[in-house]
Amino acid sequence: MSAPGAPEPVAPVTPGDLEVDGGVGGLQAQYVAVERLAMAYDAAAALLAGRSRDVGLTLLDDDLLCSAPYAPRSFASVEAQLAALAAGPGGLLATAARWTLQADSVRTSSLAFRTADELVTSFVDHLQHRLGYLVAHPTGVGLRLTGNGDLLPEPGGDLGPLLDRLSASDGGDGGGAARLEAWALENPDHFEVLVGTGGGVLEGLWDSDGLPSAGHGRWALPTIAAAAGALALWFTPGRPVVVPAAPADAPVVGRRAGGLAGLVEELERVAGASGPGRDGTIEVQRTGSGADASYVVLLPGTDDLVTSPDEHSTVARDLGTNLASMAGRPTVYTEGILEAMRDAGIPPDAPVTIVGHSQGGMAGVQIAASGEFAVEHVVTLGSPVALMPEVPPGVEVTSLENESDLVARLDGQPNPDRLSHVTVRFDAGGGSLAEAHALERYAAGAAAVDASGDPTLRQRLESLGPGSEGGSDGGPGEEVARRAYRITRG
Amino acid sequence: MLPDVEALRALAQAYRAAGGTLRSEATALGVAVESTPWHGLAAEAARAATHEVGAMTRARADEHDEVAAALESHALEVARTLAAIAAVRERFLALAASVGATVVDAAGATLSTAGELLETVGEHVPGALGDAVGAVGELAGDLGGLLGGDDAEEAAAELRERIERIHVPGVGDLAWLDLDLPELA
Repeated sequence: MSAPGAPEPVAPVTPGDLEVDGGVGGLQAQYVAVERLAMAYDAAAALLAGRSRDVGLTLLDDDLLCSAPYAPRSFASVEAQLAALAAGPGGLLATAARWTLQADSVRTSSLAFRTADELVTSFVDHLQHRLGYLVAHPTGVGLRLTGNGDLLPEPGGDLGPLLDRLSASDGGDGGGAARLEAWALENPDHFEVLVGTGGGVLEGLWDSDGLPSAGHGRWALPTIAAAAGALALWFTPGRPVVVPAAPADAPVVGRRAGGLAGLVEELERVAGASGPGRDGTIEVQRTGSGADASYVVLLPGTDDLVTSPDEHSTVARDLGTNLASMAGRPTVYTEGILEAMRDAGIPPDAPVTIVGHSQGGMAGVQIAASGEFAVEHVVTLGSPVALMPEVPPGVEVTSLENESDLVARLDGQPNPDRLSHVTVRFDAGGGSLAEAHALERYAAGAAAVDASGDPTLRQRLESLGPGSEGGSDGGPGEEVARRAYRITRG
Repeated sequence: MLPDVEALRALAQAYRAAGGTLRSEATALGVAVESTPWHGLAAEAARAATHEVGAMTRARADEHDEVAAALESHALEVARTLAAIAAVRERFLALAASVGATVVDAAGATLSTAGELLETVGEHVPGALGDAVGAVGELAGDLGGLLGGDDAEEAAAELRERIERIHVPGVGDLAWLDLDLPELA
């Protein structure tokens, strides 16, 4: 037990504590495997049908036919057996038809499960939206009837009255927010569901000047990602200003510890360099040279989570950027990262791994989805990426989520179970939102991943390449050349 | 066209190989369905069906083996028939040659008798072989007359010329099996 007010220590995470979804052991992998099975049945059917044709041709074979007068009885026996084999009731054609039937049956089962999954997901999304909408609409009507319609500004509208009221209702001591945070930390699953109603809540409130809509309201916010996009309209996107900087607390050329933990350790160092006057720092690391060069891009998370909507902040990694990222839009951060990657001379076909914390993870997925660089891996740490655009084929996303980390749940639903997307959940504790979201918790999770024997995780670590398998204690690591950049909003 | 025994044996071998391929395919699919990460009732039903159709495929593989065995047996029969034909033909040709060789030193009566015999057989053998046997018989009969004369050398030359003009059925011709000569059967 930690003393009251003292930070909760990082809970030990063992490989056995990890919950792994997606990847080669995930649901989509099952569907793919079943569909491959159906293709194998098709191939068997084709093989047998081909044999049936060949046997039919043997019946007409010149050598066989001209031998008939020389041994009529044995010829007749051969011909009878060939005819039965080619097209008899239990012959090759009938067996080929059974394999085709089996392929169709398996394929139909797979499709049915896949469709059922999609329907359930879609239904849950719809249910969450309707729940939020049907609760929020009468609430909004009530607010308007009591003369508080100014508390329901639409995107771009005046937020002043709302912010004043929120501040007043909090008593100025932050007690309301603290209670909400405590409840959410106690009930992270409920919090995630509640967040999932966000799109419906906003639509219900904004539609409350009229009758409730049967479907989506005029703002069409089916998901929390769409809602975040609407909220982002209050913030100024800006343009990136990218300047080179010295690597923080590390030599330009030096060694990087191996394993996923080694990468997280590097990210912790880069994130530690952020602060007043140093916000927006990222780092590009090169391993090898020439055609053998590969790159790691380290992207820390949010620097300023309480940006005022009407404020033109020079901090690129702020609340507005978070909202736009959740909506999958290009941001001042993603544009700045791309500019830095170009400046670092990363060739378009050189393999790139992006490791990002929080907003950095979302940005990493967006960079991969942009297709400008040959991103092979994105590792996200505490990033709400469930609703982000699907990455191109060949890109592997590995998401680490601390159970208590509410930021990772801001997407309102679990990450999709895809072959390309592995999600690893663990409980590294955290007594507050900030603690549970801290990189040190993810370092513990990454070390457990390195030590895990889970086949999905082993595949991921092997895929990450030399230096990633075996953990941070597994070897001397790799020599890397570091280039740091600072991204701000101009 | 003569039957090609080696081609028949190769065909049998191809069937045996195809049976092996089918058996391997059935085994591979059985392994694939067991190793596919798929669980539940549908998966179990698919596994059972796969093993059932796999067994059917193995049965087809076995039938390929049976066809291969039948083809090998057929090839053996054909080979035996061809050998029998070859033996008859060889002995016939030997007899025909002996007719020619006897030109010089055999007695005309003997040749006349052999000629009559061959002519009689030739009338009962249809087709080209019958013609050939008849022709040889006629020759032998004629020789009897020729050898009764003084010019034996001239007669021998004429005989050889007439023998060369006889059309003898080819190797493997089934007609040889219809030939029933004394000491040729």
